[in-house]
Amino acid sequence: MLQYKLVLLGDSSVGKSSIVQRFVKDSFDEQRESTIGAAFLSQTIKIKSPNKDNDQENDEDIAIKFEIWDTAGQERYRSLAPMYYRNANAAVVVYDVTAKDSLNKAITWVDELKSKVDDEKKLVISLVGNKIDLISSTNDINESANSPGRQVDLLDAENFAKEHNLLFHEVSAKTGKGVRDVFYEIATLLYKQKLEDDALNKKDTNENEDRSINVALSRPSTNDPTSCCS
Amino acid sequence: MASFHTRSMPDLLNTLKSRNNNMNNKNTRDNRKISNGQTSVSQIYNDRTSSNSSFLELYDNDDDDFNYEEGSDKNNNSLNSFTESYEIIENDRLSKEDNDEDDNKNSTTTTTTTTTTTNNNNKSNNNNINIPFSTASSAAYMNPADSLNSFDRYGFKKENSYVTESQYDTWWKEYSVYSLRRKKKWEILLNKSGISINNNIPKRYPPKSEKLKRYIRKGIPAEWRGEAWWYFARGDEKLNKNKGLYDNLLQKINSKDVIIGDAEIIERDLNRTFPDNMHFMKDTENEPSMVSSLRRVLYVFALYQPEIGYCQSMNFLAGLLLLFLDEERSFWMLVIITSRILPNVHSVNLEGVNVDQGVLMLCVEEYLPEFWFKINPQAAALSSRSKHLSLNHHHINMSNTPFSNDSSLSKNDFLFKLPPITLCTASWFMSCFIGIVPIETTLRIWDCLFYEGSHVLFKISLAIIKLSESALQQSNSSNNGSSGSYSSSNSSGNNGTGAFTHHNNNTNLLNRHSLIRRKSKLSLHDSHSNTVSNNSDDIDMEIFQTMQTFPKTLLNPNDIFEKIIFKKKYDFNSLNQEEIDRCRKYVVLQRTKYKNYVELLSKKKDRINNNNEGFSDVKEEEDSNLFGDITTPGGITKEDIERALTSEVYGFKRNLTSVHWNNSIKQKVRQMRKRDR
Repeated sequence: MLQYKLVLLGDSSVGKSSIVQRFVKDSFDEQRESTIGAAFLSQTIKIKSPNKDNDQENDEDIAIKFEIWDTAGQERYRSLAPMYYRNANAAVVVYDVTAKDSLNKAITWVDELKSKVDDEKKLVISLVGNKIDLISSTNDINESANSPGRQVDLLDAENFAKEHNLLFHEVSAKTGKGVRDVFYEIATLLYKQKLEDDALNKKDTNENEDRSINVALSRPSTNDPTSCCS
Repeated sequence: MASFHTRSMPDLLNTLKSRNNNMNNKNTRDNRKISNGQTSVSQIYNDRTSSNSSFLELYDNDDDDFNYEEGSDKNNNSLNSFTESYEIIENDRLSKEDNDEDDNKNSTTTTTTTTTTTNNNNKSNNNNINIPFSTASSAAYMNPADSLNSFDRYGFKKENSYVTESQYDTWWKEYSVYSLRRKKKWEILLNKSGISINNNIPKRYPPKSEKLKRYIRKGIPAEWRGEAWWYFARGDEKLNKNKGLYDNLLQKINSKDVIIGDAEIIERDLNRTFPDNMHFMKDTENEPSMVSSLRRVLYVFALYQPEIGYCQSMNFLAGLLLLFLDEERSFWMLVIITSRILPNVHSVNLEGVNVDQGVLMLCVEEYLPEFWFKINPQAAALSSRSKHLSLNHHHINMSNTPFSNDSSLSKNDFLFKLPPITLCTASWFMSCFIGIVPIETTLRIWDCLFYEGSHVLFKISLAIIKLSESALQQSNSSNNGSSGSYSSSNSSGNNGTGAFTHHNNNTNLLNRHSLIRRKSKLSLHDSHSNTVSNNSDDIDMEIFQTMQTFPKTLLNPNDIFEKIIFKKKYDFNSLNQEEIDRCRKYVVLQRTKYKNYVELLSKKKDRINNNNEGFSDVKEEEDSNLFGDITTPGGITKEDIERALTSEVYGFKRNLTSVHWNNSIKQKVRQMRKRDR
């Protein structure tokens, strides 16, 4: 089994803990307590070997265990953050699609990760916009009073993600939409990294593999569950 | 550690009586010795073995134990305290004035029903006061009918991910009897001290004493709590100095004269404070009055102490206070907690958190070395223990530190680069255990917190770690044959969404423990795998999960207090406020030194980069030739750095409990016992 450390970052009350709860327990609480310090959970998933060209383990499931560190969102907890993301393999940076400022906070998190983490290239970062259940299908900014409506444009976030080589998803922890994909995609990518590393260790890397990694980075996995998991 | 659980009380008393005079003489002699020559306490007690040692041992299994190290709250001379407390023990025991020790036996007082007419003694407040516990619902607070309710006496939902409702009810059936018995004893104590209560909530308490401390550690009656906390935290002092201030600030806020910077963050947390408590639960239409109170308290606080503003976790502190006190007094208690009890912990840079975690780590290193080696493999590497494991850790863990080759600093490295476990324990302090342990246990800790001070939080933390440690050992011995279970349970749950390995109950927790050990072994053989960032981190995570889950199962406060806090055999029970304050000062100093050092490093690095472009690999070189010939811009001298590097190690005051136990002492005790028969 492969194990990876994954850390969740983002402004307070964007739904970090709810995303983890959806992923780990497949449930949702309308009212959640704010996270103080950090919470720790783990979850194992199985993915198909993503690299069809690779002979190894082609037909076998790969078990990936995520050790998930869920953190407090308030700005002042940032001073504790280096402890969280030390040695992390992946980071899920969350913002709230109904709160404009939360994307700015997310961007500062990405910057911090890029500048502080030792092996920046290896750290897989996924930018995740949560609470899409609060916006209607028309993406109308002028929503009813009940719902704040979309405040963060899909394209803005997507472009930022592309520019910085981040994975990107919009999800709803409440309905569960998209949450799985976030983690399966990270798992797939981390597994590819591992294969690449193994290959490097054997000193027979070739450019084809490099290209396939790039493709995966810019093209997030589809919603088709058969594509990456059993 | 030796213990004599089989020994009966009368037996002990006989032994004690026969030695009483002799012992007192000895103590007086040693007192003199200490005051004259400053000979170390532990020295004396190591030299001098049998009689005193056996005395300690005899009391060790006393179920009505307490800390004689702290015999007098102001007197920190161990020997004096020892003598004094010893006398207190004698008085308590032999005169049998206080029948306190029957806690674990059946009592006859259980039939007494509690006051059904709890007074609502003029709560001075103009605001929308809603103190559910001390007023409206107090009549029902110990009603057996509670067990039909899915909420506890404070309005919290009984059931959660860690405790089922029936588990709760089973425990409560027993604990409510205990609570009633304790209340009776409190009433007797207060009456004797000339404080008449007449079914009222007491407004004052007798002066501080070992006995009072023990009573508090056994729990203040729930409906007295608000007043008692207020009294022991000297709330009136604060309030009287600032009469009307709360209302004034509130008025300012209401008239929108001021802008609260953290208002938005406060708003986000209002509905995320005790959503499982009936008083905070979101109504469909109206905001619960408790939530409105919480908003006002947090707003006023943010205005009153802008250097703190609002810090997540204060919502829980204020929320819990509001369940026991009116708004204004809750506010002042919050001020007292954040300024006097936990200074800087909630400030903008959270430095107080780091300091307290540094202190806690020093305590762990001192008092729980086994656990220390688990969370700090570097320390294990330096020690002779667990050589095999440590090699692996050593290599991985130190690669990122700027002090990789500097053994003198690595001794204290953890004060600046706190071990990951502190991510978990930090919240224990920030929220004073709210949400960390079940509510009844939290409240017991709060009882002690306001009476004894913040060192209680350290003791409790150590106690919880200690308890979790023994759970670990237990599971290790009972799970020896099941090493395959982990992998199989993982692969069996494949239902399309992946196999869940979320551990949230006791059984899983225990399995988890054996896993830690197994994993650490496994990875030794498997270290070529690049799948995990590193093995030490992996173990950290396992411990972290245990530290996160285990406390939530401590439904019964007595699991902490009777099993650990009242037991002298645990050295950390000798910690007192003075020691913790001293320790805090030390950690502050060390961290400041380190900061200066790091600043210097980066300046030096810049210089090298500027002078020598293309010389990119500074990191590799910096350790070896950093201190060659620098004159620093910040006025930091070479001496400063060296002082930082050769940082002095903190020394804990050794107390009587540090006496070395060995088999010969044990035997002597046994012989003594035989003789006395």
